[in-house]
Amino acid sequence: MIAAAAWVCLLAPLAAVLAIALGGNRLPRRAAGYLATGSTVVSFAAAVTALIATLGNSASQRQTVSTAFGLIETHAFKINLNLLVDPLALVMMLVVSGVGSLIIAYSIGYMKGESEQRRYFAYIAFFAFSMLLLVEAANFFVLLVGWGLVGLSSYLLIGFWQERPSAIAAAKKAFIINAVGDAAMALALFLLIQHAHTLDFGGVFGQAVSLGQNSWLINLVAAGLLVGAIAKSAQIPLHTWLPDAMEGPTPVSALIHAATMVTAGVYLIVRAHPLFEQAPHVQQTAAGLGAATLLATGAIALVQTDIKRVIAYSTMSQIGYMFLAAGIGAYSAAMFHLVTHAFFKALLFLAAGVVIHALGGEQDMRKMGGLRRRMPRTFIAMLIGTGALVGLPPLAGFFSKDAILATAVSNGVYGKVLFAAAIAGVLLTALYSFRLLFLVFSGDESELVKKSLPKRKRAEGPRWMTAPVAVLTLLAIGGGWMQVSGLWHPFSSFLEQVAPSFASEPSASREWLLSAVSLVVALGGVWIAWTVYAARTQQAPRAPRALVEKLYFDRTYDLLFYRPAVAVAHRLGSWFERPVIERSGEEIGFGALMGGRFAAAIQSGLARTYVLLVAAGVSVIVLLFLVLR
Amino acid sequence: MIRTPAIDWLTLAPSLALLAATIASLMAAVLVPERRRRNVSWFFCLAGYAGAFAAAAILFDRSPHSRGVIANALFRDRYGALAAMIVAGVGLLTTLVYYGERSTVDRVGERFALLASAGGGMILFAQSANLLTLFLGLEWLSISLYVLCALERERPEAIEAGFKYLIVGGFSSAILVFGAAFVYGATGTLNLAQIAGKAPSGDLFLITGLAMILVGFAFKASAAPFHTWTPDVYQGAATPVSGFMAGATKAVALLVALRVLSVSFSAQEHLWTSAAAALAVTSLVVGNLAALAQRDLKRMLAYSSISHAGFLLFAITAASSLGTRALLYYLIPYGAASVGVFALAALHERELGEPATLDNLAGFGWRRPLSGIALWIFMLSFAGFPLTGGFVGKVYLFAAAYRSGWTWLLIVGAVATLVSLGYYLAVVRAIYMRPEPGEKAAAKEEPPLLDRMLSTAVFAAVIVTVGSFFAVQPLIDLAKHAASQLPL
Amino acid sequence: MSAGNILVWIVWFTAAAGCIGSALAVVALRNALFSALALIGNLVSLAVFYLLLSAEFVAAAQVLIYAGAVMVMFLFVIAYVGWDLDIAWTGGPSWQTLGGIVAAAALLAELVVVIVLGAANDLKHSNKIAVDFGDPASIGRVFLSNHLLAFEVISIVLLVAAIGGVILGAQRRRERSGGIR
Repeated sequence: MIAAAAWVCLLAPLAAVLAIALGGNRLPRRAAGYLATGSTVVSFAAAVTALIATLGNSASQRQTVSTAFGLIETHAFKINLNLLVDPLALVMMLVVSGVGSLIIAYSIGYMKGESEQRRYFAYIAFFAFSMLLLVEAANFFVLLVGWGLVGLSSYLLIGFWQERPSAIAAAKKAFIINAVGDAAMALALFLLIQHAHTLDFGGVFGQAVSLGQNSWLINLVAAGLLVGAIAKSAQIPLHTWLPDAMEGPTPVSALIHAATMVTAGVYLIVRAHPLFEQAPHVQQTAAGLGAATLLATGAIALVQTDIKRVIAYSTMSQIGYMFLAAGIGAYSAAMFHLVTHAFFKALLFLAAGVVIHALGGEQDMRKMGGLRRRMPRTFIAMLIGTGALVGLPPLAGFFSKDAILATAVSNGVYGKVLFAAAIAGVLLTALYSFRLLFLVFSGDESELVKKSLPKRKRAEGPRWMTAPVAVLTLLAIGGGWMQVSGLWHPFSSFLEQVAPSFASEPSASREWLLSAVSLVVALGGVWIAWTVYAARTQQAPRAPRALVEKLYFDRTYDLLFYRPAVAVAHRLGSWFERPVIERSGEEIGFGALMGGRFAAAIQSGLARTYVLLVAAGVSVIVLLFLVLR
Repeated sequence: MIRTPAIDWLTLAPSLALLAATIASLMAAVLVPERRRRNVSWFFCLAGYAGAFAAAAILFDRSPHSRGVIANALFRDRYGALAAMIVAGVGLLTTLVYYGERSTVDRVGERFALLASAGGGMILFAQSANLLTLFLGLEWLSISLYVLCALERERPEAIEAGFKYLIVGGFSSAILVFGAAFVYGATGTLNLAQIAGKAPSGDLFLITGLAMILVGFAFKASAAPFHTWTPDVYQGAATPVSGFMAGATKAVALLVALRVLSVSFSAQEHLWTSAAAALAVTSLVVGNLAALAQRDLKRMLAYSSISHAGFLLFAITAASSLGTRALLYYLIPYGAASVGVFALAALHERELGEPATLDNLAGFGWRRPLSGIALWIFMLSFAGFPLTGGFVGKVYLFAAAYRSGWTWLLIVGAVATLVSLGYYLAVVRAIYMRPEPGEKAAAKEEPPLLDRMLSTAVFAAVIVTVGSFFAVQPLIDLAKHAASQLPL
Repeated sequence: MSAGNILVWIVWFTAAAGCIGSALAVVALRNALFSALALIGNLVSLAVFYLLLSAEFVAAAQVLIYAGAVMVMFLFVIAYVGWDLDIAWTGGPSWQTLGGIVAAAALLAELVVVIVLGAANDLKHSNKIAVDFGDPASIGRVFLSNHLLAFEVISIVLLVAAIGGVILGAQRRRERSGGIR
């Protein structure tokens, strides 16, 4: 039952991909959207079925492994194509298929009129399949397969508008940085094969202790996994691809670059927590990187002018919180925040998408303003999403973020440092998110708004777009109530079997006290944003150059990697390949050959160069052998 | 009375089947009326490859132990049989693709005869157990390919490419023979199995000979810096033939290299592993960087095949049983994808009447959705993406190199894989681009009826490429049986 | 050193000089006809080496087949195409010449070193060889026993080469006469 549901959940989107791809031009464009949406709804239903069936089992029996068949079997190790359904996987499955189906339904409206809808929906359904494969994997091999495939589909979707050079560049950048992470992960897996002789989660985690607490081996493995996680989740220092990835269609940003794929890094750390716990330094590094990211990206978000980029930086910042929590061992807090974040961040993106859609593709916030009256429902949705992001009660982010803050402060000196960063992050979050809200919705209507929205006409898009936004709004309001400190905690007790938190639990009273503190900080931020951007009683300070330059990360990478690589490639091109090989085929006239001068073919000079290269190669290899003998 | 050696017909059967096909096709060129000639000689070629495949499969089944037959001229073993199966499989698909090639109207009997004969040479080459049969097998396959390449009269580049191939190929064959002479001088034997141990491991003649033989193999495998002929020849030859060269010639060259090195030169392992590593790195650098600059699809694929030579050389560098298995396994999806991708290039060329470039591929994926997906799959397999055999193969090769301590090679390989994504994904992207207005006219025309043979071949290639991911275990078992017969 | 030995040395040096000189002439001469003639000289001087190595049959075959039959074909072709191909070493960048010389010199140096170091001892004494070494009967016996398969495969290789020659030659002829297809 559970196994069957897991396979249905996984394969439904793949079936949609195949149907769209095979249908080709014969399939109406709308049908592609319906197919993709329908398939993810089927996935969601299957995930719910699996959840109900799993809840029927006793707490210790909630793991189901389903093996399709063995892929590789040697005397040393074997790899099966198998799926794992356990509470952690279930949470991810529900988020991916649930939020995913809402966002894909939204894109039916958003992509209307686009001539290549079929390609879009095939890609996005393929993404859903890959992501589900990632979270349902029962061993690191299948996980890596899914990990690579989500990277690929993300690449394809970022570059969906391929006539824009910036989109292509962004897609490449995302792909390359993610591939760095993939490579690091693959190396870690090689180490595991060599020393643990298995890649099954159960097998590896069972041996985690015997691999040696804090040994070089376990540290290397954990470090490799961590590099993979920070690349996928856009954490410092591998974060630079995410803002550029906003070149893709907005629903893509919502699904891949906010709700699901970018949180895969958090999932990986929680999933592989037995390994990370044996490598405490690596795990603490994860927390530290999370804290650094949440501060740095929160600060950069303050000066961005592109509406989607602000939300993208906010995403990195929020994932920073999750890394922080996972790094100190508060796994259920991290996962809780992952879930609520999926709700409210998807909401923010989709609401922003409504705005962008209405304004004919404009993303510059400075050209917006006064949309509150023209798009009241979107304004409310955005207000709720922003409130949830900042952590205002009773919205979703309030509960999840405060759980992280409270756990941090109860965990020693390091925890206190992290807590300080996190609370500063709350202030930044309030500042940048309400800045966005006020810039877009308050004040007078800008030129652009007047021009693109004719008077007295609601402009909030077709029902396909507004309905998912409404559902997500409800989730952003109520999603946090599934776990309230001191009252009930079904979420963390559900996850307890898979990922028992080792962080010391804060007392309920302390948690409520901290909530009050963070609320005060957040409200302070909102007030500042109000005075500067809504009431405009204060002048905004000039943006520091370092922030405008995004803390110089892009520049540094450009200087360190891109330029030398290009230079080397050019040199190689102009010195070697081009003169020797490129010109072949042009050098001799074909007429001469036709005239019967076979010899001419030998005269082309290139043949001589080729022979010369062979001769040189021989002499080098002979010499090498004689020397090495 | 001369005692002639006993003939083991089963061992000879795969190449004999192809030899018979060669002669039958040639006869057809004379005896069969012109309008039916193409079908008849095509059928003989196809039957030859099918027969060779079947014979090789039986040979595989009945050769649990490796031994030399026909006065130690050939090995009868599973390693050679699996190589023969790979060649025959690639040849079978190529024959299907070659059927619809427009230029085959001319001299059709000879074309199919040469295609069959090239396969026969490859199989003999793969089974050879002494340096003499090895050289003759090499020449048999090479001469067939030289002529097959130069035959392409419609392409201006073809004759030039054929002659370049002949000259440079002749030179490299000469070097291989020179090397063989040195080895004979050092050991007094041509028999591969007896070379080992006949001379001290540091013998000057022996290692000079080893170096030269290695160069001969590197040339056929198109490993840089002995790769220079590859782009010209792949571009100039008939497109299906290019696929055949990429899938089969490279495969046998590497397999025979691994066999010769491990059987005869086990004492010099430290030398040839370092040389293979150096060749691998050079091939990866040259192949990947040059591929990035190409706009012509076939030239790009040629450089991609050079970079693949680099990846495949990891197996020789590893010099282990795991590496052998990885090589044997990887050649299966690699061969299928090579034939498949060149088949699609041929399809596109036939529609357009001009060479396929990244620019005129625009819209291909829309016009022909199934072919578009197939091209996708082949490119992802080349790039080593999951759900294709290329992924498992690459993981296997990397694992082999890692296990043998070549960690730095792994890093080079990882970077090369990254770079290679640049041009593989460029193809994928290109086929879904909107065609330029100028080219729209060509695209709008009702596409000609699909060539059924070609579609069958592409379909089979897709099945193998994807199937080898899901059916890893049976293939690995095959490879394991074959690999266990090498002394590694 | 006996008189016979001295004679052998003299013959050897003459043949060696002829061999190297004619090989250089093959590539250096501008007229294809002269190149071909120089090649004959090269093949003949190789035959002398074979004689010195007591391989009389091979020497005779070398003269008859290569210096005779094959070279006649060569000369026919050259006469047919025209020997005015005085472009042998023209064209192409000058670094090619330089690079070719460097690579060839490096290879030569390596081989000389290898041969001198590896075979110096063998040069000092002569080996006894069997009486029937190199005679037609023993060669025939080898072809039919140890190298039976190779012997047969050679015929296939020649067949394929002949097919190639015929196809390409016929193709050219048809194009010349304008009768394409």
